Amino acid sequence: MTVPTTETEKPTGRVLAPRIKGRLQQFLAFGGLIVIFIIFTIASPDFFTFSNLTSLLFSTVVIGTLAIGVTFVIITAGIDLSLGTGMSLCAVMSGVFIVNWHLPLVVGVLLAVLFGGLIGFINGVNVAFLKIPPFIATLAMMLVCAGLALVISQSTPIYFDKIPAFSAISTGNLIPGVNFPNAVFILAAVAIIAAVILNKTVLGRYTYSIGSNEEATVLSGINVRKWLIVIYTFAGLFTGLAGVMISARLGSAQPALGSGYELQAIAAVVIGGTSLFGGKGTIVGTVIGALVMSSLTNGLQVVSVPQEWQNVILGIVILAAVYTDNIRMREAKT
Amino acid sequence: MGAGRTEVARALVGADHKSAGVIKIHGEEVSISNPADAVAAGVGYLSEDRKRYGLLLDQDVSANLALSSLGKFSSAIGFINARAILKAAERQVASLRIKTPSIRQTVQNLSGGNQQKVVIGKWLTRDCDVLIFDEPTRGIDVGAKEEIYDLLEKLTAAGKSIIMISSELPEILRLSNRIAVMCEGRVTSILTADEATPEVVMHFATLRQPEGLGDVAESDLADSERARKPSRNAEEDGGKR
Repeated sequence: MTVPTTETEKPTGRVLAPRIKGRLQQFLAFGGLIVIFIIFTIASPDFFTFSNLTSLLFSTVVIGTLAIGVTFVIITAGIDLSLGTGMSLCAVMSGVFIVNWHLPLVVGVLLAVLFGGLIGFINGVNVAFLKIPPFIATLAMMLVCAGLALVISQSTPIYFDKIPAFSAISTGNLIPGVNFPNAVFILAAVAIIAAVILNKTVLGRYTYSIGSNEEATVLSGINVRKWLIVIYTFAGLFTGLAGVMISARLGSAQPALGSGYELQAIAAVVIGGTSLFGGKGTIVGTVIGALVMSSLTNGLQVVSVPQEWQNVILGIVILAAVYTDNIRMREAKT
Repeated sequence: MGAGRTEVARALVGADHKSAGVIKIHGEEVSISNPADAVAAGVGYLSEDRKRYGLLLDQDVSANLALSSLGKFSSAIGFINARAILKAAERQVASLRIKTPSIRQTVQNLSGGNQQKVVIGKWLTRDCDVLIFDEPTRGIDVGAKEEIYDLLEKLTAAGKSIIMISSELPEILRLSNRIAVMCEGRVTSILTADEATPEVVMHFATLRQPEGLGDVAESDLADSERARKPSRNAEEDGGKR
């Protein structure tokens, strides 16, 4: 039997300090975003223009939508590698529903989004009931989705050229006369809805508490298995929406497009201050992270850095972000 | 390790499967197969390892206090009533005298005693009738221990039933109405407060089965079951685990 250790009262004077500290990464990401903007504005007169900023925001939409969804999963200390190919599969399914089956546009879009939810549901069951680690469960799902997207589409893109209203979801202009794509408004709406759900609902609370301490959450009488499935399913809806958005933008459902998107989305989430260890994260941070990713890509293109070097630089940025995450965790533990 | 006390407690709240026995609350048999069932039946478990099993260390005091009661604080479609949560948290902090600069303070910054109070507050917010305290004073300094004892007395006075698991004979003898002594996974005796003396408790705590397996050399672990209301009767076969 061990001698009980005694803990002495620690003086706890500061109230605001922990809250600010918890959001440090988010502020760092925002600062980084501003630095990126300043550097590229100085480096090229073509960066800080309305048309380039519009295209920058436009290119954030798909990554941003995926990243917002996976933020929920990552806050539970999980991961979802099936995002990218899952998105491709949902894109293909939107083609199947709308073009091949001639379903009404709204129904087809809705079904494609729900199909993303189905992928998330299966991930959730695998993680929560079959106790497969999220990394493995979603890695397997990544392969399944990649294969199914090719099988269902017979490896050929499905074109939406007969349904111009579909492309208008992404490329149409809500404000007449201003060339500003609808997709950006959709991303903004998605971000706001996700933030409200994460902060103001039971689902959001359980997302944090499962990530913070799963065993304690179970012992507090919460049906964690059920909620994990709900969270993965909910996150999957964003994959479905991203599939719709990308095929609307391209005017076609491309079955082999999505792989690699999952890593960019996860990187955006981590840059935005969501901890891979779970329990911490915000939607605002994720949106900032997605903007960091897309403005880096965009800016490096504008200043004509070759594609290969763009990847190297993105990789270094991700390393830096995860490194600061590690430092924060170490500080939190001591 | 040990007499199987934590195992019994975990089986009672459905954290682990029980191999035999029935659980009765207020004389009525209840079916508990997971912690959610236990909480729904009004049974809360406070683990001896509160950092691992009791608290969301990186979340604030109010989030921890509300964790088991979110159903109560939310609308039918799941929207949280943040104001009600903060109000309830303020109330618990005041009534349990949790020393924290704010209900927004992260729990890991609190002392052991105050962390323990947060866990207690979580179950009081949920309004549990039966509380199972597993080593409630482990890792807590002397002053805070007295406070926890007072709190236990107050809770039983307010009609809560408490099962306290403890290895510390003085606190068992001081607080208990009934004491179930366990040794090597068996309840060797259930004593009333009048019958219980240190010698008697130690006798039963070391009462091994003569033909026992003999592979575990466990000894001086005394176990206490303290139940305010005799109606609360939890019969459990701890078994060999």
